Amino acid sequence: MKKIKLMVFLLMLFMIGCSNEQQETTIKDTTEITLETADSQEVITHDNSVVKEFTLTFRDVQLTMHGNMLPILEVLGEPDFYFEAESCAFQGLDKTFTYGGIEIHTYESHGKDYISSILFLDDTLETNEGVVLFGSLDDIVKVYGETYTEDFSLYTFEGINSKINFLIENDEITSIEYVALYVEDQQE
Amino acid sequence: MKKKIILLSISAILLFGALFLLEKLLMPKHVSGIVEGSLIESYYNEKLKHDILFVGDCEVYENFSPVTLWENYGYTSFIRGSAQQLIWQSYYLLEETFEYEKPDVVVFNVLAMKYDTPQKEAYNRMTLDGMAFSKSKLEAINASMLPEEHMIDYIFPFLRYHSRWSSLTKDDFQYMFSKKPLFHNGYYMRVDVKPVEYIPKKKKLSNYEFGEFSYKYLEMMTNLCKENGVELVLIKSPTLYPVWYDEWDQQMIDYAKDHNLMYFNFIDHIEEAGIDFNTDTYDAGLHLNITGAEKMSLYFGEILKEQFDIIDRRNDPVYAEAWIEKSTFYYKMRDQQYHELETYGEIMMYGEVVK
Repeated sequence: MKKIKLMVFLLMLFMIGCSNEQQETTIKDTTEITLETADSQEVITHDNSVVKEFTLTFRDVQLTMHGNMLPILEVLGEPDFYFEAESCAFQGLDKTFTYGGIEIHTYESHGKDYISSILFLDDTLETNEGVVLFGSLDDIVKVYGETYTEDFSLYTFEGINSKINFLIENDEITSIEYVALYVEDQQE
Repeated sequence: MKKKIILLSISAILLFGALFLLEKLLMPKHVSGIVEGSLIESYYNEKLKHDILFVGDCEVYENFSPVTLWENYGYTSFIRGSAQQLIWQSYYLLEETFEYEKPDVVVFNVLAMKYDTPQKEAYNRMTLDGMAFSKSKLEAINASMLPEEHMIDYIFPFLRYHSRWSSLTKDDFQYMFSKKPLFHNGYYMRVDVKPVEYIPKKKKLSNYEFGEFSYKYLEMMTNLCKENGVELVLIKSPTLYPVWYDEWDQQMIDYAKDHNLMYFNFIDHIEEAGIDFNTDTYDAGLHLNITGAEKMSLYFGEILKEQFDIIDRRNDPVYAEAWIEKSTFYYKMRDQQYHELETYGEIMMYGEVVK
């Protein structure tokens, strides 16, 4: 009888233990020191290394990956085009807001929309560091340095929670995209 | 000594019984909200053979209506699809299905070719949790796991879901051992309409080649069908988003040609099939609604009729009786959804239909 009681007791302990599990925060901690510069944000991490967070200033609004879309919408107003896609079987919408020259993509988490990526649509805009569509790889390296990865002519510069992708075709930049990292983890 | 053995046996039975009940209780039920998590297991209730088997992601389970195929052609079909079902999951589901039956035709939707690596645990779970225990399931788990996942959590799901105990709902108790019917031979019905207004521009990709892993499983699927004497048909459903690139399409055309398979990109047949994206989609072009799925099924049924010698079973009393029941449930759910749409402006209670 004692053994049965022990087993039931262990089972209960196990269940109670489970309830105290905390959801792991997956966006990397960048809270140490954030220096807002004229271009991208520079984040000094725990080990004192400096890593960029890639942001874009559009119509005087700073667009940051994982940034809340609501205050941005209040400033930018109605988009030229709007599209929303319900991801298969999951509640919450992935939204696309198109303004002259850019497409802002968002993901939904806990009822709010956060920026997941920004795509340049034409050459009327430049990155905060001055790179435009149809520029060259030299233009990129001049301002972003040589710490990039290359995969099928896609040049990627990675920050802590964001990255910027440049696609080069026939020696020209044909796509510029800011992308938030760890979006999947935020959509739980 | 004898008393000790009896006590130990009782203890073991009680412990395993408790664990079994806990697992039944703690597993997500997917009977409301995200009902798609119940799609895969719905197959095991089937009693009769299927002539056509669809495998793939939401582009099959939302875009084809088996009831329409039955009513108009007498074809029996089932859709073994779930949300973002990856190609290796489709392969192992097919392998598992062949243990139960050999359909005449297998239809695979090729959108999944774009994913060459496991994507998200939540999607994995929606496919794998519903699979009956088998060698195929173990292999599907093995192919699908993300680095942070563990096989043991799939074999004993209660290890994964134990923390649900504090958020259990009435559904968890009500549907512990059996679920209400939600689907129509794997078809997820939606009657609402949301027209296409705008589709984002195609984003350029650095590499349009499908991955090695995707091709490996497509090859395995092709071989599996050949070995079992089953015709494999590749399709791309007629949806406007996510993007289906011309470069991807060409690879499928080439693959089908090289392997002597049929491939239909239904995006090129939207007009012919009579699909109107003002009325036949419930989410602005991602998936078809019931009117779209019925049109698509009629159109595809005609192709199947021309290409294959599939038996029309409408005069077989056993099949006819079973499919009358399926049709009745189908139309009840359809009418209920229309009623909810009219009354509340949206579908409120998916699947809350008394059969």
